[in-house]
Amino acid sequence: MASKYKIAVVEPAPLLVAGIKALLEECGEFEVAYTFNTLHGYEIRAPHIQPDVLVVSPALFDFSARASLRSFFTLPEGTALVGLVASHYDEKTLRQFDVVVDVFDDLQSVLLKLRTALKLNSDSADSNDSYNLSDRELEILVAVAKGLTNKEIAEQHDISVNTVITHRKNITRKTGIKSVSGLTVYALLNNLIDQTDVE
Amino acid sequence: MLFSEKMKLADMMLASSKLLYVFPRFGVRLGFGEKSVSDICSELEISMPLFLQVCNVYTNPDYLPEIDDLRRIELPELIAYLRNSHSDYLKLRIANLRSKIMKVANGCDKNCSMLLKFFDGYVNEVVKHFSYEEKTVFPYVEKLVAHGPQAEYNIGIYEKNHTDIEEKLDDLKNILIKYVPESDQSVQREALRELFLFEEDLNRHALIEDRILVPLVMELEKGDGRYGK
Repeated sequence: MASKYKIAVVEPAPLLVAGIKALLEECGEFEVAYTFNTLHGYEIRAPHIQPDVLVVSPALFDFSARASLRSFFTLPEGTALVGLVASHYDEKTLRQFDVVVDVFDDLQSVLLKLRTALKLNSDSADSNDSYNLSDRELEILVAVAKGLTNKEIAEQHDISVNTVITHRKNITRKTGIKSVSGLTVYALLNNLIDQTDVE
Repeated sequence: MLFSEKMKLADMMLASSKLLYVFPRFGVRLGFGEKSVSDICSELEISMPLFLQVCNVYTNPDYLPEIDDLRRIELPELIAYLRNSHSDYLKLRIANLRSKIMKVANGCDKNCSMLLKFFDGYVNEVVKHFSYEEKTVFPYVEKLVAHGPQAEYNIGIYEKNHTDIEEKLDDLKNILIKYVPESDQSVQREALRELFLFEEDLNRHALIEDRILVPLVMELEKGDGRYGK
């Protein structure tokens, strides 16, 4: 199975957080990787995490700040901002989110909404051909197929090991191939490398 | 719906085609006419509780057997079944799958020989996994049954090491679906179909281990002496 979408939840009610975590993880498609019960808690960790979906309760914002709450977040490209509401909010507040999940939604519609939000954002992040590997990813893939380690690849391309890992995650997400030997087969079948490169 | 002893074998197979691979592991051959579960079990001296539980887990992946029902299964019989399954995979299913993959590889350009090599790498992992069970886990369980709790091992270790051999299978599916250039479509479809069936069967096999073997062994490890001498 392809790697799971990581979700961060910022919600003050512990029961809601536990419920979201239990329901979503049961489906296997998502992983609730980070939970925060205050905005401050989220703010501290924000620079270090890269969730695919950020679920936020608008109740965490003062009435006056709600209509522009999106500007509070510096979202990494491709991250979806999802509102989690338990009561009525005005239209302006709701428009701050890519989608809004209501606590009364059934599980299927929650999943549908999350998927919609994810697709929406990956399209705008990578507009021309989001499913194909980028040139950079192809370079990294070739290096992986030839048996280089992440550290070696990082040095060769003058990038950080973390960046290599991110590229590799994206390669796996796009191709569905996780093992190094599988990536080697991919590279051979697509004529990116030659048989002699791997012998 | 769960299967019971009065049910006809034919009706069971019509209800769940996955049993096509299960029956032969108990020595049940096609052509059983109108025989019921209890008929065939007494005829072939098969443990009926084991036969029914295996068929039920195979058919309903969500089915979690009650420990009281499991207690009617003798562990040595279960292990014999698991060993049979392993040899079925190694001697028949994997060989069959390999010949299908080979056809795909032969049908396209030279780089496709990598496909077979990759498949063999996967098979190696499966073999290693089976042989760990056969050389470490099963003998341990047999000792446990015969002599009571053993110090050197426990089934928790096995649960932890129940390694993920699905990764390469997933990779192979992706490669066959997306990246094999210019080859005979029907050959490719055959290989994929076989791969899907194999994967499903292997997953159910793992369920038998997780839902029948592990809970039974855990209970025995608690040392209530049920199976002990």
